[in-house]
Amino acid sequence: MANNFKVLGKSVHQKTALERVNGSARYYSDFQIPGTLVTRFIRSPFPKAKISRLDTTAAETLPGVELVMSYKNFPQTFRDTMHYVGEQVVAVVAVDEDIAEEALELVDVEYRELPAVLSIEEALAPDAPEVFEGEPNCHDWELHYYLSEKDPESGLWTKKEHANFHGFGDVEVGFAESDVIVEAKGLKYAYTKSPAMNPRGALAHFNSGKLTVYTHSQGMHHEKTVLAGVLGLNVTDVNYVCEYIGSSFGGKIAEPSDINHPTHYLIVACLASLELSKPVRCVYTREEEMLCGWSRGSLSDVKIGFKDDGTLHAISYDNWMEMGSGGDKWTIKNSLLATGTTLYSRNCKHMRGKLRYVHTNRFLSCGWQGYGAPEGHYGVEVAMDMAAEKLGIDPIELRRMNHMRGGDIDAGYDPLLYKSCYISSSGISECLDALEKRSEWKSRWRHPSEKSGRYREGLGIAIFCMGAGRPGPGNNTSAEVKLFPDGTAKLYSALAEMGQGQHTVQCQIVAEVLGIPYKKIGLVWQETDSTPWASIAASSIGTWLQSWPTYEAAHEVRRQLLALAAGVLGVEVEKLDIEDSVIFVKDEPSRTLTIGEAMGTLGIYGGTHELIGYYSHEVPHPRCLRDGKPGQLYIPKEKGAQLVSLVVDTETGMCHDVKVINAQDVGRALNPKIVEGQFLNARHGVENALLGSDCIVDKKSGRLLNGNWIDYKPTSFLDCDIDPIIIEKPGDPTHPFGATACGEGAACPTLAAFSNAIYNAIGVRIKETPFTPDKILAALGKV
Amino acid sequence: MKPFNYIQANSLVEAGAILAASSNGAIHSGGTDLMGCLRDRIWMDEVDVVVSLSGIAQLKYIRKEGDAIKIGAMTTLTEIATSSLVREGCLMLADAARATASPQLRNVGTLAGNICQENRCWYYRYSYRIGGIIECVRKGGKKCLAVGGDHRYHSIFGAVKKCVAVNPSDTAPALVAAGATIITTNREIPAVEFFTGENGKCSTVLEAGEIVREISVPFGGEGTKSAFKKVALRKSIDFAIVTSAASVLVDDGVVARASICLGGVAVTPHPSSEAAALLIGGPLSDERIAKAADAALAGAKPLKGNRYKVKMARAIIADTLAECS
Repeated sequence: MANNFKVLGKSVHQKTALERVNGSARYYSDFQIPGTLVTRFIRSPFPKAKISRLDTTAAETLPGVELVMSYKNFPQTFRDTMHYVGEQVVAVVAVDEDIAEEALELVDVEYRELPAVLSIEEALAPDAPEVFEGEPNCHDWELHYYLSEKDPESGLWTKKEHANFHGFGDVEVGFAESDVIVEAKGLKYAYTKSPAMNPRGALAHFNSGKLTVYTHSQGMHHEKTVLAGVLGLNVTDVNYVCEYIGSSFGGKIAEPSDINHPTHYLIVACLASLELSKPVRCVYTREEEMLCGWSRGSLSDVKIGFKDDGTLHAISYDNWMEMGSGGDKWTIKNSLLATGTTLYSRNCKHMRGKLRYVHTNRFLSCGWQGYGAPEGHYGVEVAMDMAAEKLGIDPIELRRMNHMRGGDIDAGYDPLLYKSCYISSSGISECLDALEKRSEWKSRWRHPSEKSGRYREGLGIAIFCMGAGRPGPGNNTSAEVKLFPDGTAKLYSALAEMGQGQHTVQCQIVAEVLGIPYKKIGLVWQETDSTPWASIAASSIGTWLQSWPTYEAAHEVRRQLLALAAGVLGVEVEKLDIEDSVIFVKDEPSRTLTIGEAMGTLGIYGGTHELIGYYSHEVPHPRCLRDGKPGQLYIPKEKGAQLVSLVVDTETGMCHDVKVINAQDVGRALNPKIVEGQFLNARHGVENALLGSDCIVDKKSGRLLNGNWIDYKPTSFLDCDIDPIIIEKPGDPTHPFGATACGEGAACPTLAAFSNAIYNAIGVRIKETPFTPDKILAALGKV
Repeated sequence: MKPFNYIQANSLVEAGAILAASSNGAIHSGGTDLMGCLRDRIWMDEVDVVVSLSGIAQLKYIRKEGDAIKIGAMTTLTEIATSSLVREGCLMLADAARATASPQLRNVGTLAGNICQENRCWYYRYSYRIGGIIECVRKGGKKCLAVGGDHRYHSIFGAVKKCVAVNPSDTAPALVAAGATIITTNREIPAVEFFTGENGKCSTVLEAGEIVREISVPFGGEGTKSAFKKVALRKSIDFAIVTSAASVLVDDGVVARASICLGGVAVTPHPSSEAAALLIGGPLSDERIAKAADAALAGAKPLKGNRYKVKMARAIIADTLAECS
């Protein structure tokens, strides 16, 4: 079967495409329950303030108001100290929007303003005001590890101990041994937003002791479990419903247990519904979403040492990640992926990565698509370009010499339970070859000193790897497959579909294993009550995580079916195969059975009505281990290379003719159209580079000035011309069919590739994103 | 959003009467921006009545009368962008209409609405929902917060009544450069006099109850060429950082008539008769275009954070003029 797929490798239609285009797909707002109450918020006008007076009596007595929530009655979600403009002060739950808004005006609230910090730079300044009282603004990452004592046989690190940086070797020695050293300092990745079309929201309905939550989710089972704990409910009394997400880009994970996590829509709706025993809807406006959704941003310094011939020898990497006033510190770990721990693990002998997260009086940052990795790539891949110039080596060639290969040692954070592990495959060389050819690099690339005139072309390259496997507690996932006598099958899987195509691909796997057409595969995913546990779809792990249980559950059904067929036909199981829903004897293809015949169904009186396969994934799957040895783990990565070409108009500062080519090794493209669609994630790099993506905060008031999609500009189709190149390099051991991940990867290298392309055009390095015309004209000395 | 009465008028007379009877009425033309203004409560005085003109079919037309293209106030931007008459007689207006917003918005947005729209200053437009309004100078504040704050997209030609918000209309500079006339229920106003920063809301000279009825655009005769350029970060649904419209009549190799207007750079569309005058009497050469472009920006007084707009505007004026040759 391995090389003769019937369904895999084909761009079959997506399972839920029809519903999504004809409008019948149900997003959380499409669930209507009579008598549903609505929620409106008063939000903080100040970046830091203490509520000095709060009287909600008048609002509470307004007819139609059912509940007024504040720190006084719901301290688990509301506070009396505000940490950013837009933090929730009061929520009014009422029978309709007009009454809720009228009630907001009846709330009497006064604040005592406190000093605030509105940027990383301000937060790091000596004597800066504290975002959280009694707590420093800047924290060292708590999970820095120093790795040592490499096992000569396996090549893996055997000793892992807490340290004040992450890495191995001795970076000072490494730089002393280097012939050429480059330093890139103060590279700033602006505070940007995950531009999901559907804003956050939830409808909670507590009725007869049971809570049903209609929302969006990247991990229904996880969120439900945490939510039940927070609300003091039995897990069995909560059903979580998410039919369609409405896009996410990795920014819609909810964490109801953490007041500092942007999950307030969910907890407010649930608490109010529990209090009132009525359905309560809490939905953010676009302006609220801009404040209460996920952001990212960081500052980094990179220093890399090379031997004369271009061999990378040592890397020092410093990252200060802005977390706003809360957020998710775990994001920062992924910035290491671009360093000597992983992407440049091949030659890097000395690695020092120092990660810090910094609180500011801005809204929460949780990372999103790439989850810290784009920030790391921005710093490292800009420094690599600077190095290529200093070394006099072609930028593609320098990467070719130094990028990770399959079997190299991943010493990053990812292997939580492991000291280090093997990179399962790379393919970056093939990606670089493809880009070099497609872009006509060799004939087109010229040094910036050779460019003049008003319009200057620039080519920029960056390579990438993104975490795509995460063995560790909680990352188990499961699947159930049922086969019916009419030859149809159903997959029960709660792994989130958020546009990445996972539903379709998992159904393709079931069809392939069972030997029945893709169209005969149904899918149940909509709620927790009817699906087995699935982990969060994050870190681009869907393919790595879900494919094994789907594959094994389908195989379990196949085994049961063939056992029944063997009995009917009177042959050994090993002699049977299934193709196009027909069971046949391999040596005598004319001897066949239908699936119904094999199951012997006789209406309600007898036979087998359904065959059930279930598999719960104990990560890692045994086939992910090197020679089956525990502790010797292959871990997959997204990996590839990206090229940006553009023309800078040196009179207006605008970039024209922008083109991105993304080449990525996916091992095997299970559905090539979906894979190409995933590569278009580079669009976020386009907006973060050229469309001015930055949460622009007024320096005096702390207000977000561009908190809407006119002034903050997600890309339109006209802005991004992205050319996807799929590279298939078979043999990755971490997936039943040799597929590796493709999700967030294409978003990782884009900012660096843009920076490198603009430098290549104008010969000046712009350190801070976005690369808007004001900065380009300033860099050219024209302003 | 505060509740208001919504009335669909059957005639301009009726619409005018409803507005006159209201304490603070607003006109609904295409409606693409009105709802945002109401929802975000950017106006200090609450709107009590919204009068829709969408039922007045007679206000939707493009026709040639003598030497003028007559455009009804309710004509959509799509209709203007695709009109062969407008493309033939005033290409810069058709292209300006085409450069506005997105296909869906152009299908409902009207020309009259486009020239009467509110500015996009992010202090002025800040939604009251997130901590309340920002008290800028237009809302009773003592000073313009953009001047001391983030003014990267604001005026490079100074303030009017302390406010440095720019007129955001793409079609406005084209109409000014074309020498168009705005015909209202009360009077005829040359486009160049239609825009003002003195009146507050919507930055036009319209008086309470006065409604735009028609826009009359001179039909550019033989030898006249016009062009429009827009610089914006996003290629669709974006307001301009700078726009430029120009019209040039070249007779026997010599510029006989020229007009130039910049948009997005000042409180009102910013024509430059000095620059146009420099072009007249000689060929439309690169050298003379460069001098005209310099002259158009000679009076610029940029703020600290928007000096780049001067450079950008100069470049696209030159590009626009070059396209007229």
